[in-house]
Amino acid sequence: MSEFEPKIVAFVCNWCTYAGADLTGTSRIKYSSNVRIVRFPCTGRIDYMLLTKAFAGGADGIIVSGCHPNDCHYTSGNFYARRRWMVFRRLCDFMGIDTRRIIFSWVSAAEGAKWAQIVNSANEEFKKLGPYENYHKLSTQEIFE
Amino acid sequence: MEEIKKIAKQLLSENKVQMVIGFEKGTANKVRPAFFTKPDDVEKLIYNEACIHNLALYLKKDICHHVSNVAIVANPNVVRSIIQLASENQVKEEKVTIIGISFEGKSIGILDFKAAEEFAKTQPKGLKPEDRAFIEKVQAMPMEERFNYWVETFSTCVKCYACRASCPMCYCGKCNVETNNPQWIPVASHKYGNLEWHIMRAMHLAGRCINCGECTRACPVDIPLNMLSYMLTDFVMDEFHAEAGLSATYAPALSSYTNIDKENFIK
Repeated sequence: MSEFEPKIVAFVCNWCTYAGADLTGTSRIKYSSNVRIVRFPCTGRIDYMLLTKAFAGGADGIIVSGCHPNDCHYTSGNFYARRRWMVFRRLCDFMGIDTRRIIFSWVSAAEGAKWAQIVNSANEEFKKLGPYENYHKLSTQEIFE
Repeated sequence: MEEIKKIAKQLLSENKVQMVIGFEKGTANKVRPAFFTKPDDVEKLIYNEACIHNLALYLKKDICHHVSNVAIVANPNVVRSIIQLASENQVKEEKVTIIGISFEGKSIGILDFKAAEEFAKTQPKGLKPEDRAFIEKVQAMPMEERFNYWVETFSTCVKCYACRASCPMCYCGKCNVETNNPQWIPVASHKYGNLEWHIMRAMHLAGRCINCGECTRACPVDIPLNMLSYMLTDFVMDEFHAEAGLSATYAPALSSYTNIDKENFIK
């Protein structure tokens, strides 16, 4: 039997992490190909419903990443996002949604190596956790019961 | 009660307001919200311990759209709701007259927003011990059990949206749950759709909920959904030192930020 390969969705901002991931590629740094990158204008745009949608759609883990504080292209988008993530993480924790499967990070456009490292370590961790069956079961089977 | 009637009658007869929102006798020893537009009708107004509904929600409903000035019989929860609505630019001070009712059910006369803020600050704050006990009980469960607990609890939800209809803070013209392109939340009331609806509801009320408990009171299947909002209120108070419904110039916790917010969870 082949090893379990997690599906990872990365929600990244256009200005830092997307450019950072681009740098990873142009620097020819190899990293895990399990990640599917979705580009957003800003981390402030990343709605928490998108995260739940990703889980429902079959993701085993999520990476959310954007500009470092004070580096936001729109000045303050990532500050608002940071608060929202804090509250969302607390709510997920309270409702028993696995917060280990949602990884938040700051990756700037110059941090190609950091991006590769984050994806690789996330991949290792999600591999250990296995498929997120609790949520997948809910979103697929329950509907037809 | 006589004093409230007197104030309401005076406001209507002096034409200071066009409508008074209060309570009247309903069927079977119950009370129901009532809307008085004539001074003589005010005789029907009552106030007793059964009057627990949060009347502030009518300020954002159609019934208040065609009147320019409204007076509202306001217990402490209603006062806090009005202040919170004012901080979100949803009500204007000159259009709302608050007939204040104290925690013990006594009339304290007409309050302007400044007095209302002072009054709201004197009310008991934070979670009730039984609510805190419930939240701690759920928090103590292992993760899997917690997830199953909430999924099972929400599985009885019939998506009647009474929680939304009874909440003074849920005033959006079009709710996300009714958006169908893209569809954020499944329409049918299966476990998955119910879970996402309650996640969304709790997140939208984070830092805005004033803990009146109307949602749970209105719920026909007794889901303790207010616990999600209460838990987040507590969290927001601890982390951001922000509490809704105490100041008409309050910036909701999730629409503001500081440079020193915690980021120990961010890699």
